[in-house]
Amino acid sequence: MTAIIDAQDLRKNFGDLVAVDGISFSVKKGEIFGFLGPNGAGKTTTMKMIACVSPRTSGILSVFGMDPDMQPADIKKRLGVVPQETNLDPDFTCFGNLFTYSDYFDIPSNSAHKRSDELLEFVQLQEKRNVEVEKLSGGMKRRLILARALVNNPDLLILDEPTIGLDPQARHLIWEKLKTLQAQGNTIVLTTHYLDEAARLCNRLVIMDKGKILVKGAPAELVKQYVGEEIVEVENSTEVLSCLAVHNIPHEITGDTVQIATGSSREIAKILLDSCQPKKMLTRLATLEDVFLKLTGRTLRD
Amino acid sequence: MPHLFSLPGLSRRAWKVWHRNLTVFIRTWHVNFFPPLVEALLYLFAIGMGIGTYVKEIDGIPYVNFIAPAILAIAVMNSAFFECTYGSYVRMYYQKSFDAMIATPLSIEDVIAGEMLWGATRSVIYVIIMLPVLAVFGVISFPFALLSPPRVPGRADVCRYSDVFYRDFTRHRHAKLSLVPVHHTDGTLLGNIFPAHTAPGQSPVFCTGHLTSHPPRCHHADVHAPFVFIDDPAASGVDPDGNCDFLYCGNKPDEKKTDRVIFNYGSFSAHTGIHPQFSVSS
Ligand SMILES: Nc1ncnc2c1ncn2[C@@H]1O[C@H](COP(=O)(O)OP(=O)(O)OP(=O)(O)O)[C@@H](O)[C@H]1O
Ligand SMILES: [Mg+2]
Repeated sequence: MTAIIDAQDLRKNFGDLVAVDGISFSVKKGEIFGFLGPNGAGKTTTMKMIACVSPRTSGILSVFGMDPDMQPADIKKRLGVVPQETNLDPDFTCFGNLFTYSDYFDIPSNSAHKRSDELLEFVQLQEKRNVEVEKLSGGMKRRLILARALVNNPDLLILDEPTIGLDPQARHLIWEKLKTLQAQGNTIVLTTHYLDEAARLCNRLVIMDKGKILVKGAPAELVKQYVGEEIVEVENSTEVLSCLAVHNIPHEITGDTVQIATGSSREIAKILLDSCQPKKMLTRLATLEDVFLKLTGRTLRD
Repeated sequence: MPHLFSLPGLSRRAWKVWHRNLTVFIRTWHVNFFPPLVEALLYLFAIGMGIGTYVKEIDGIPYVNFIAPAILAIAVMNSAFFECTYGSYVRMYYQKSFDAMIATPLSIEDVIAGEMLWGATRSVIYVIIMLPVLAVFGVISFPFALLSPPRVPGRADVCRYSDVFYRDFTRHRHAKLSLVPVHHTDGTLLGNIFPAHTAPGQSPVFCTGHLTSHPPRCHHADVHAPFVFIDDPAASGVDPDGNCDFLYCGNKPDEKKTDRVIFNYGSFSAHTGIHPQFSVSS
């Protein structure tokens, strides 16, 4: 399969600050590719370089086989972008936003008219068609921005936290829409802080931190490789801890619980119940969140 | 700055930005048609009828007719200036419209060119709205006045060049800088009020004084030019105290004839901290 995006040693500095520190990745046609990472990891900066709105400092970047520095208009023609920061045009209605935006892509007005209405229906905003965007709720604005990203039938969608601030229904709606778009052959690059979303949507993803890529791969494989299959959680008490030490079970303390990553929760649970007398015990499947926290640590980013 | 001297990446897409602004203008026409009408009336009454009561006529032309072209010229420059500074700034900084636009095939050069085209267009619209008002008062002569709308983009250019600088400044939030050129155009109005009587090279006389103390003090300022452009009255010797309440100029102290003075009112206020009163006698 051909690479839609190809980046080698991609770098972006803002003065002395290194926002993206030599990352390499490639996105294949038709896949949903995720960028995860703590605040300030450099996800948005990477999205902006791909979207040809922020020139790279160094490295190789090609989108559809073209260089964003050389052929930005040709690339942007085929892109749909949902920015992290909502920038709908407050001087227009919902329909007006889609219609005006279509004009920037040289779409003739009669097909722009038709497509704008179809897209309002696609994100279920047809009853807000003639409402000024200022009067939409935050989640509706987000949906409208997704619709706006689709006016030009893009081959590549760049979504920077597309589901931020959405209620569970709207998130499910967007997921479903993204899956539909993927089935139609679109390639999608997205960033998100919802790890369940990433696990559900992404074919492959990278976890970034401080401008670097820590790991890349399919979500399920990353979980298996970095955490294991299951997690047993018990309360954090001296008896439990000493018991775990006696049985030589590796564990991690997170606040008032102790987490034990394992390939077989039954075995661990049996040992704990037989000899440690835990008050509370819980077994669950390992998730991407466990990988994320393991790799990027539990401390807050500034 | 490798791109400083290279040709900007402009394309005909700039008209898309222009078109967007026109669409918004038409959408909100009821608020956009009001200011030029009010402005024309306000200037006609306040300056034309107000100051006109004292000045009566200049070179045989009634004072109101004399200032009518200045009213148009100021409208042209102010509307283009405001559109390309305040208007563009709001769109760029608060509405993030430029961010949205450059995610499409439009380049940032297209966006800025489109904003400028729109600034010029808007001032043409402004003049077209003002002309009938001035015509109703009979202060302009047809058919020559009809030539003014096509000339507007040229006048608007002056303002737009300063806009480019303004853009850079607003990036650093020195938004207050906008006031200087705005008053600057007011100064041009006042300059237009005073006709030229001084022969080239002749030094005009400036009389300055305070409203509470008499009489005004008159002196030859240290300026020798067919017309003078006063930025800083204190520095140019026009107002040695730097704090006069009023100012007028003429050829001789007793003659009190007015001179062509392009007076930079904004700088004057900025330098002296006072707003000068203009005493004009014929
Ligand atoms: N325009 C800019 N000027 C200077 N520094 C910037 C700029 N944009 C981003 N940065 C810096 O680059 C780093 C990466 O920022 P970026 O927005 O890419 O992070 P992110 O991964 O998208 O974070 P978040 O999850 O919070 O959106 C941060 O340290 C940020 O402060
Ligand atoms: Mg971000």
